[in-house]
Amino acid sequence: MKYMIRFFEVVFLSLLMTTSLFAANQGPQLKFDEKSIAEEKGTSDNSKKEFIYGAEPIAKFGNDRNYFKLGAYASMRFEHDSASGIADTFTFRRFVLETDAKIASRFRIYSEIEFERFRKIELERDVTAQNGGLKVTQEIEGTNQSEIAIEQAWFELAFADWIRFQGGGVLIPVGRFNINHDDNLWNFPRRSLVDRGVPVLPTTAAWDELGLGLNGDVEVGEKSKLNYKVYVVNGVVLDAELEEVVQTRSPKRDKLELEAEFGISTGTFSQDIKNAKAVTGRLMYSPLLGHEFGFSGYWGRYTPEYLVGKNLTAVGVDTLQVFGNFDVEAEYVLSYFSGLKDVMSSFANAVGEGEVAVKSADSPDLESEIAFAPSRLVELKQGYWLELRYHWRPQWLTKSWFGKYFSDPHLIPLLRWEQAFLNGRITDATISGGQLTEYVTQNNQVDRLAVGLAFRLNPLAVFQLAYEYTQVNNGTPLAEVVNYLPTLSSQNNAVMFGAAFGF
Amino acid sequence: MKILFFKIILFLFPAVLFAQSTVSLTPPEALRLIFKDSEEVIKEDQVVTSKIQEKAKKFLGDELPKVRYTFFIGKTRDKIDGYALIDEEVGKVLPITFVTRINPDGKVARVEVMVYRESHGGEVATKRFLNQFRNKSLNDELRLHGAIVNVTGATLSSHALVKGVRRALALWQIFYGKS
Repeated sequence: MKYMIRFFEVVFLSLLMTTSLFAANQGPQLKFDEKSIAEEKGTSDNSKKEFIYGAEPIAKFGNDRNYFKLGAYASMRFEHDSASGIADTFTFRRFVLETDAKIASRFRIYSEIEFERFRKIELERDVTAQNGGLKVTQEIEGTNQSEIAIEQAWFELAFADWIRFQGGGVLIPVGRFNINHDDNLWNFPRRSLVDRGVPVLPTTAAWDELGLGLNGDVEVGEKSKLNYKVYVVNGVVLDAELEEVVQTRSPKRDKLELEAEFGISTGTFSQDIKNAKAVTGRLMYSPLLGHEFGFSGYWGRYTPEYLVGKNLTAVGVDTLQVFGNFDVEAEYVLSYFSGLKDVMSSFANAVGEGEVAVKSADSPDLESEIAFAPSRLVELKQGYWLELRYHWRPQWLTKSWFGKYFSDPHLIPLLRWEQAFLNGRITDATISGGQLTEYVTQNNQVDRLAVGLAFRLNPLAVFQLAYEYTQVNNGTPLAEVVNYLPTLSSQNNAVMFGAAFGF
Repeated sequence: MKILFFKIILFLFPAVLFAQSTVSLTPPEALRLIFKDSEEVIKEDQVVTSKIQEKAKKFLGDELPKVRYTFFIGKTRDKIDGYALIDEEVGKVLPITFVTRINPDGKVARVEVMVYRESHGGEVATKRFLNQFRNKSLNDELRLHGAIVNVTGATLSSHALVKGVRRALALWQIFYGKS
């Protein structure tokens, strides 16, 4: 051991000396006054200050060392579906506001706030004294499926390229889509089944969790690279959503129902109701630029403290292969919620009665009911997507009006094939007297084929046209297995036109 | 044991210093690096007239952002070894300053990033990315998703360098090309 240390000391000092000798080499003679060249080009007064895309960021404050940048990406689409019960519609997919602040040369703060399908939320509250009492009125108004969420919010302290300390709401590095999900970077107007439509990921992209970890890049020789990310996070949890239903029915009694639906949700940003952390990470190896292989995973408890402790294991394998104008990109994900039946038994024990309703004898006109039920729980999910793209720059396009005003307009014909396999999907769980009296599961397979043509103006803006065919096995309604087609049909043909852009 | 620990830290510490993503080369340092085999380097200022702008638009489909460009010419015993242009292009937020060396046949000899100011995406300054430009000439294939593969997660910085190198090749063709 002693001699090994001495050997490394000698090697290190020799390298240091040799480097110094090389640095002393003067190079060619510069036949002009070195001071005549501005130290940093671009600061001389001969630059024209006219705005051209890429010449100036739209909203940036500060200087090279400390700056704050405001950015965003957004997307929308129009779609026509053949399945019953779905109207043609425009959808405002999302608007994501980004802030990127560099408060020191090696300290960065980044955040994204997402407005998904969001139009408005309006709250009205009123308290008045009247009729010998106090009346409190609260009204919440909003458009369907509106969502505001923090998608990311983290700091990063970069000790060196190979080791960066990161903390906050970080993107979970399972697969390759979740960590690179901006809509304007992709060419189809709908996200994949694996990352969004089912999803096969434990929860829909963009999936972020609160935690701390490390990430870094290591160059391996001149051509290869390793990238790693590893975090400890609060992690996903089985959590409740409260659904309120008011319903008129004839000849049955009208209904007022409060239902607590228990499904998998992203972890909290405050009290961790599981009292158990999860670990997650990804290792990516790129032997050559344009060729990447990623291996990722997640492991941690998914049940809250008041239920039996069970773990979620997720693994991902992904790849990108670029051959000139032709790209192949793919991702496979598996999510396994261990002991799901035991979890439901524990849930039954905690709930007592799954449904409680006021009898008609006590309330002949109105049925009031409370219910507790699982929502979209599946024991084992796995799936993949495979996308093929070709970047085509025909002369008639590059020399057209588009070529004059945009730096790299081109067309991208593309194809995506994807499948999701759901094993042990809970279709019925009856709870009575603190027992799970009925537990019914089903296995399903979802297939989807999409072909499309994207027109990319530059790296930040794209128009997307696509045809998509989706089917589920066993005649199961699509509404039961995917979260974006509310139809009883088991097949759907969709035509979509979308736009995505960012700055 | 403490001495061993201290020596390990001392041994690893330079890895922290050397493994920085922000490249920093002044113009004289950059010129000495890319013309290291030349005897001397001279400079020539080229003014962008309206005729030059028209020619640039034909090559690039876009106007030149500056009114003057300075070319540096490496020579050995009156023989021209190559030409170089120092320029900048904005990546995602801040300008990337880089130098392009062009051979007398109009092909790229070498590209070096002189200053990379962004907080991430610095891989575009590595040989892994920049070596792709070697021996490339100005044609429609000199694009991302063409002859140049972008760095995942640094598409805008990759795009900026492609745009900048294309501009350097176009300017060389205008001022020094034979046809």
